Amino acid sequence: MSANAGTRKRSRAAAEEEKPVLSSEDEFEIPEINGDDSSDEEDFSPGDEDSEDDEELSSEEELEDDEDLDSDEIPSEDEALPKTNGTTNGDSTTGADDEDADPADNFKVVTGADGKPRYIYREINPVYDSDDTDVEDVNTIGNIPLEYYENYPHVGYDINGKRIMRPAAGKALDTLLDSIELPKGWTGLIDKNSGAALNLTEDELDILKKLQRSEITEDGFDPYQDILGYFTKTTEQMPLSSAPEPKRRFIPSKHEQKRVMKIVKGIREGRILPHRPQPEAADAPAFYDIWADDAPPKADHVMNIPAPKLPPPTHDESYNPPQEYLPNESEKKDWEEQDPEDREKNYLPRSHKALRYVPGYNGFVNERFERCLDLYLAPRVRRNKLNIDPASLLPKLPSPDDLKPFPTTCATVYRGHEGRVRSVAADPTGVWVATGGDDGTVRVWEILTGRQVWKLKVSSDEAVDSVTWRPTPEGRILAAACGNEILLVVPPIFDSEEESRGKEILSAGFGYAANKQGTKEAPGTWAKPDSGLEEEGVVVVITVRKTVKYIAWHRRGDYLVTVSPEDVRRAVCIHRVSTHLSQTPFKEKSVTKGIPQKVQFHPSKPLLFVATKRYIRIYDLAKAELSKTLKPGARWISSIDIHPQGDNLIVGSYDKRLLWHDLDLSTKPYRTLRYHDKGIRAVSFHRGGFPLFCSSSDDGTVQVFHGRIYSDLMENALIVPLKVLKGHKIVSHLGVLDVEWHPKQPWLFSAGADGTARLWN
Amino acid sequence: MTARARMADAMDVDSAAASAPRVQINLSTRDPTLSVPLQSLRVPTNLKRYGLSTLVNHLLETPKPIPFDFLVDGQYLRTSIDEYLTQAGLSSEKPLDVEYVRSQLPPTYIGSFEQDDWISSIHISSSSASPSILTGSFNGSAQITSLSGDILARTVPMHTQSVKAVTWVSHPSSTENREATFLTASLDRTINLWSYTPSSDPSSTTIPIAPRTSYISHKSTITSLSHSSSTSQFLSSSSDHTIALWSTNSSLLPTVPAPTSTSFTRKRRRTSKPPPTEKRGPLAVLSAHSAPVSQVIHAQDPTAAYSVSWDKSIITHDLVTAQVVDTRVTQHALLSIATLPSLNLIAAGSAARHITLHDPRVSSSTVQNAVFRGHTNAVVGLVKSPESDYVFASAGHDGCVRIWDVRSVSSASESVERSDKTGGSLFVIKRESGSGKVFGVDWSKDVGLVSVGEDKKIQINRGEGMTEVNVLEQS
Repeated sequence: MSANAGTRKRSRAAAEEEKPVLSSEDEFEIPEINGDDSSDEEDFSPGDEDSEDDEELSSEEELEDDEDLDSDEIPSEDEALPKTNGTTNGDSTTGADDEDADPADNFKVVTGADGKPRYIYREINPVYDSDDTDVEDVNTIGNIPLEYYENYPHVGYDINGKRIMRPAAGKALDTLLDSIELPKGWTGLIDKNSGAALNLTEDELDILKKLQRSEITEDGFDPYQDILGYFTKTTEQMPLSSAPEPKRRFIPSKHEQKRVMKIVKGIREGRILPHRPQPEAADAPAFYDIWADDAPPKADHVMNIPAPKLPPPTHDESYNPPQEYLPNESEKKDWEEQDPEDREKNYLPRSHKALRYVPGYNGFVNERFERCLDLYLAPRVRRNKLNIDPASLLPKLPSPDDLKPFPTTCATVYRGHEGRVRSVAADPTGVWVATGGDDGTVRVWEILTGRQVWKLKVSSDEAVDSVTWRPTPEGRILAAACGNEILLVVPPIFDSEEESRGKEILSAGFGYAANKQGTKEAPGTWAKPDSGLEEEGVVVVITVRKTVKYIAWHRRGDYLVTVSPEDVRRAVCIHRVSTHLSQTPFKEKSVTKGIPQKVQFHPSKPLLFVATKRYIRIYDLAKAELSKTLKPGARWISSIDIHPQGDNLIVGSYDKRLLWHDLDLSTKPYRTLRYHDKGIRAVSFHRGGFPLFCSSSDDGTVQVFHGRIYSDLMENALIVPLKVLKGHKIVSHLGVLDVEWHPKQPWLFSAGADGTARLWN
Repeated sequence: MTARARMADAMDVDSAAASAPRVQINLSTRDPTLSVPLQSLRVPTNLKRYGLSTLVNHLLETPKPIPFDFLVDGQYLRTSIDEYLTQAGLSSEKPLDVEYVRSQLPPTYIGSFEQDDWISSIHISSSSASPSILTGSFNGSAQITSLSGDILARTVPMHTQSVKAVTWVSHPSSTENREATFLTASLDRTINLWSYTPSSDPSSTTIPIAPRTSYISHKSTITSLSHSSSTSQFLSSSSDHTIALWSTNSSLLPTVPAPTSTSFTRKRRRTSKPPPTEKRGPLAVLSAHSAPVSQVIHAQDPTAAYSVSWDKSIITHDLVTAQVVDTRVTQHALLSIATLPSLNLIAAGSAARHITLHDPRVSSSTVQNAVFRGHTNAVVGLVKSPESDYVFASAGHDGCVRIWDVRSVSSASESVERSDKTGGSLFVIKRESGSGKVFGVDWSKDVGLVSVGEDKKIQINRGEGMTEVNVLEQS
């Protein structure tokens, strides 16, 4: 469509340009054509005489010739010939006697008064059908108004130069009498040709009356005469045609129907009006408004895209621009040296005294051509601009300001670990925070000041992969996983009463375990630590086969579950503190179908969540069966956490996704949050009454979200991203390895690969 | 000299600015000793603080000029009046209410003394002759430092863990060799009373101090101490959610058995045997809070106390009956508290980086009077200025001590919807060492503003010229 418009535009422009050229061609060529035509006429006119088809044409030519005869020239024989022929032709139809008459008999030549030969034509015998073209008109005065002769007795001159006298006007009495008694056929008009009163005969009046009444003027025409039934419905005995009646006689014409409907449609749409005003444009002179801005506006149509307008001329395009617009010598030189493509303007401002001194613009055609090329080669596309407020497309989420408090800044940096800090855990009272790191130490810090209050060197070569506090308010026990050992520690930072209580809980099972020993090969052995560790507060060491990567406590603090992904057969292991017994709930690898990554107890029900690489399986520990399998759709699950109310689950994956599962809703995630740049390492729900959760990632950030769950089951959880906490440095592609919330405050702890743990509030 | 004549005199000072447009100002002050007889003046708008200060001094006929600061709509005038009017979009045809206050001189850095470990707490003795600075350290000891930086005395290793709070009970005096006593509270859940006799010989070395009494009740870190000399009682707050009331008179307290030593203490004991002390229990334990109590202070009336806690509440305790009088719940965990007695206000510093002002009286209905924002980390220490009733200082974990003026609060646009006033700090004192948290701050007339922190340093700042003001006040 753009091309169309372009071509149109272009053609117009081209027409403007090329007008002068065309006209010059016309001048040259038209005479030639005329010459051809005239020669043709001359050549072929005699031949045409016999052809009846061209009779009309020839008669027209005759007329033209007659007009030519008005001039003084003496008609040549050639020209006279058709005329006489014409009469002969006419005669030939009536009388055969004239047919053979010699054309020379029609006239005789006499010497006129001037000594030149003069043609005296023979009298024509007027018969019916004879040509009466040269019958003298009643009036020979010519087309001269009668008023000119008002004061003369004559009204004009006849062909012989004699006066034509005015018809005798009656005396005044006659006029009076005439006015009293109107003669028959009186019209009151004056015959224009003769100057006499124009009287009409009875017949003529009758015709006029009939015309006025729209009747047929012919005398005796009966419009209501009986119809002769050429076609009747009755079957004729002897029909005019034996052909059967065609079908179309009986069915209404489709074509007519179509045309009628077209008209009806036109009437309905208002296109066809009963009294359409006649366009006056026909009379208006067809001038082209060369000063008009643009072509007449086209109807509004999708295919019609008007060409973009050129910018209006500016001051420096004036014929006499102000001095400041005129270039100086160096600017002129620069402009001339520049490549035409690179020039900012394709002209140099010049000053002229008056408009009449402005020379012709030699670049006009070229410029127009370039413009047309531009319009043609650059396709114009109609873009649909959507008038949508972008804000309305965003989901209606509350402002983070209304969801305070949540952590926003780093309050404390816990410095001391050499190497990565693998795990962080906040004490259930909210006064201490424990960290475990690659340097094989477990450290406990004062939360606000960031002072390390206790340190335990567990191993010199193996990392502490996980630390967790026993989640009960009494008995401060810290579980730490280092290599294939799980240490249950009572850090010596508590009141002696609490310390002894913790030790009591842990040592209660020593005798029990001894009784059961030997019945079966246990997955884990419980033992007292060596004296050095015991001095530091370690009470029990559980040794399993392979490296323990993760520890999770049951809410009552009696069981803890560990994961050793390397141990194919006994990856998940449940340890009971009160009896010092370890057991593997899944004997075969096939039961869990994949390497377990993380495990977690349900906060209120006897359910165990086991996250393998792709799936999360929920086992009912009371019935000892698989109750549900969640399919988050992640490639490699890194971490899970269960909402304290137990109906929702967040899953972090190494493929950057944080997935929110509603356990009642579906096995598929309710919401996928993809805000991290690198894999997610840890996720955590706040368990102290704040609707917060967070995720930590290898991109060095911790992202905090608001995740509100409504008691109304019909209402979906509200998830609002709140804050990206930046501060941890990325060390060898590892960022924040663990996150945990403060048990009561909206504070967040994070453990980073940069050797620091941080508090955010 | 009549008021009009005085005014004319004042105008002469500013005769250079006579051509400038003038604005009517209504001068007022809250200090009755400084009130001027003529409160309404027309002054040139190009006057700045100094010009106005000269004007007020003229009107007061002070023998020596007092530097004044000018508060317009709760903001200190730091530009010319003209610029202020333009900035605030006010007309110069309306009278401007200007409150003048004694200038708070910028506290300049005096010096700092380094110690071995992080310093958690500080208390300056109020004896004006030889002020000594008592500091508690994270290495479990307390030190007494003189103003010259000499360590006068250090406690023997009694606390097995960091000292978290220190307070003088009876202040030392160099003139009479009276025995001074002080208290230290530690992360190891004990409070110790120490007696210290300043040596008459200033060149003597550091005296080791032995403890007299141990106070045992708390089950977790003790976070603060508050001593009231009029009742000879002191309060301690702890992370075990309780506040304990003790008396310095040991005979009033019940004797308790020594706590069974934990593995940690056993280990420490082996290395250094602490001297035996008498073990005493508390007079009363107030467990009104549901989260670690971060600070407790005595009210002006020593039978009442205010405490702030991580459970966001400010609780007023009646110490006679050990009952809760009033509970104010705020928005954030609170970490520090100070009273502004003449204004009947208490300031509370929060973990959410701001300080709020509260009226603790039961009759007051508003929860919060004003908010001071500026710190970028938790506010852990608050202390009232010894000179002005309206000024206080705060210590933050962001490594700054900030000085605030209660009068300099404005209903800024951002806080309109919260319908409370916000204030900005007058001065910010950064750590000279560069970084590190500030754990404690104390402000005394003689020493100045002293803060301690993670950089192991006692940093002293003082507003130079403050003494001149004091002289004027006394005369």
